[in-house]
Amino acid sequence: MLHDTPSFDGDVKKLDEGSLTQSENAVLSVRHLEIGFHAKKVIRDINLDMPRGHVVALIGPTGSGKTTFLRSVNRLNDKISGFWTKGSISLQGEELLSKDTDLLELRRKVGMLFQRPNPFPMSIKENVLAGVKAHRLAPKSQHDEIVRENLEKVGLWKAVQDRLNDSPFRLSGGQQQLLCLARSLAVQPEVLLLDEPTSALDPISVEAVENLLRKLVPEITFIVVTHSLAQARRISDHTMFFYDGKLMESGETENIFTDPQMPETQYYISGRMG
Amino acid sequence: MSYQISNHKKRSTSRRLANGVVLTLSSIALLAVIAPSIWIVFQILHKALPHFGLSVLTKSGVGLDGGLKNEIIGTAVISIGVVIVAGSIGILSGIYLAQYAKGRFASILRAASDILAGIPSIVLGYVGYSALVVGFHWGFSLGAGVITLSVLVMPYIAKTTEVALRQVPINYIEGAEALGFKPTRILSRITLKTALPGITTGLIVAMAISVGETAPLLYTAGYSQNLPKLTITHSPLGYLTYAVWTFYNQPNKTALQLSYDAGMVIMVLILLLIGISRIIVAQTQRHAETRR
Repeated sequence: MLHDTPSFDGDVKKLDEGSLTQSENAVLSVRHLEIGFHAKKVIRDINLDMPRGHVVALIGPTGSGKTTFLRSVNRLNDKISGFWTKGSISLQGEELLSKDTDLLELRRKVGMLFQRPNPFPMSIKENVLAGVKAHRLAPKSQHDEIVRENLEKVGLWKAVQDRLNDSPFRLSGGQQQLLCLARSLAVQPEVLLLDEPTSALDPISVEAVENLLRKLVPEITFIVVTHSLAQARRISDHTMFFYDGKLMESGETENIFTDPQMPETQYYISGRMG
Repeated sequence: MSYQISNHKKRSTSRRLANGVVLTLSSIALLAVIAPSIWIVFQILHKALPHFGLSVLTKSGVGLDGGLKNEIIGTAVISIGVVIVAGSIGILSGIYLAQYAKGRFASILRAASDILAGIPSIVLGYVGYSALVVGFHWGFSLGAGVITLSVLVMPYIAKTTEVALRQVPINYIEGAEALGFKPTRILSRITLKTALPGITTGLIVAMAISVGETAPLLYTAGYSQNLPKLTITHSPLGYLTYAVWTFYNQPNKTALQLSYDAGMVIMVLILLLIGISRIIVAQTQRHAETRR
């Protein structure tokens, strides 16, 4: 779709109007990004700046490209056959899509929480320490402290302090997801990508995770893909609406929900589409 | 629209009948699987236990008399050799097949491995004989026996390793990637660890085969009533299946008794192997998602 150039101009304008932060304040800058698998283009010419220290919600119908985009930010799509990218994503001015990008360091700075909790088959304690050990972030003498600190951060310490050496699979789904969050936090990321992090959880766990995100900003920037509009509205400061591989609209969450500019956005948030 | 639920009773009778038939048939099938092994175990115990004494384990064979010490040690040495040789090559090829082999090349490799697994052991024994014993002038030897048996069990180990690695949930691997694990660390900390029960099972099956295999060893390891010499070449040695096979056909009471003793020792060894594998699996799977 090369005749998309006019709408690209519009996008840039929307960036400015949508009172998104200036580039200097952006933790993540995306320019002319195109992503595809083989001949199929999934993301079409996206330009955006993710404001630092906020919760950003990515919303849009299934197949709009938000998850593909999210997984590209820490290069998890690399191994999928036929995957390609054009354009640029930069983390504080450092290009992520280059061949020379240090993937291991990138993934330490940009963590990810998945839809289904995926603790590793090792003890609860070892789960929290998995990333710390992989990146050799701390000497062994500090390990116990790191475990405690991060489990406390996610509100799991009291529940598991007596069974740190047990299997994580005996925890409830919500607790497992909190453990995965603690594991991601332990490597001190700057950005955390969340791919529908609560869609497999019960309402009480959902609330726990949501409250945590609010508590952990502004040290960490959260980018959350969600299918729940109510959740997007509850937890995010900024919302970006993806539609058919394009970033249709973005801005402060309240504005997007009360005064959407594009007809597609209006349709989607009013529940008439998606 | 309402309709009459008339034949409710009839249906439930036929359901019960079908249920009963399936239950009976599957019970018979289970019995057919279990009965022979129970029968064999009892027969061997019945024939071996009455005359069994510790001297069978502590004395080496003298002619058609004596004990099985040389054979027991021989079997142990051969099995350990097979686990080292076939285990390392088999596990590495399983890792290669599961993680690195792509497309057509991978299917050729897999087909080759399947063909190797399908070759009768006596054929491999003859190949081992002509290549190693005669061709390389190794003579009947530990090396020839171990290598021939290793070729026999390598495909099993490669296959069980590959299957076990493929069954590792993608969630674990993506989680580790997203956390910035190096590929080698993902392999050692996540993939291999999760796949360990499968790999161990493959190794135990391989060991059990090498404890129980006869034909390839007759061709390659020869026989000796001395304790095994730990040299690769020119070192014929005894093994339990030789005693089972050869002594059974001797017109001599002590030889027949030794044959049953050897059968019983093989059984006990295999039970031990199964027990050890269970312990290993239980120890390594304490934190697993699904317990096996």
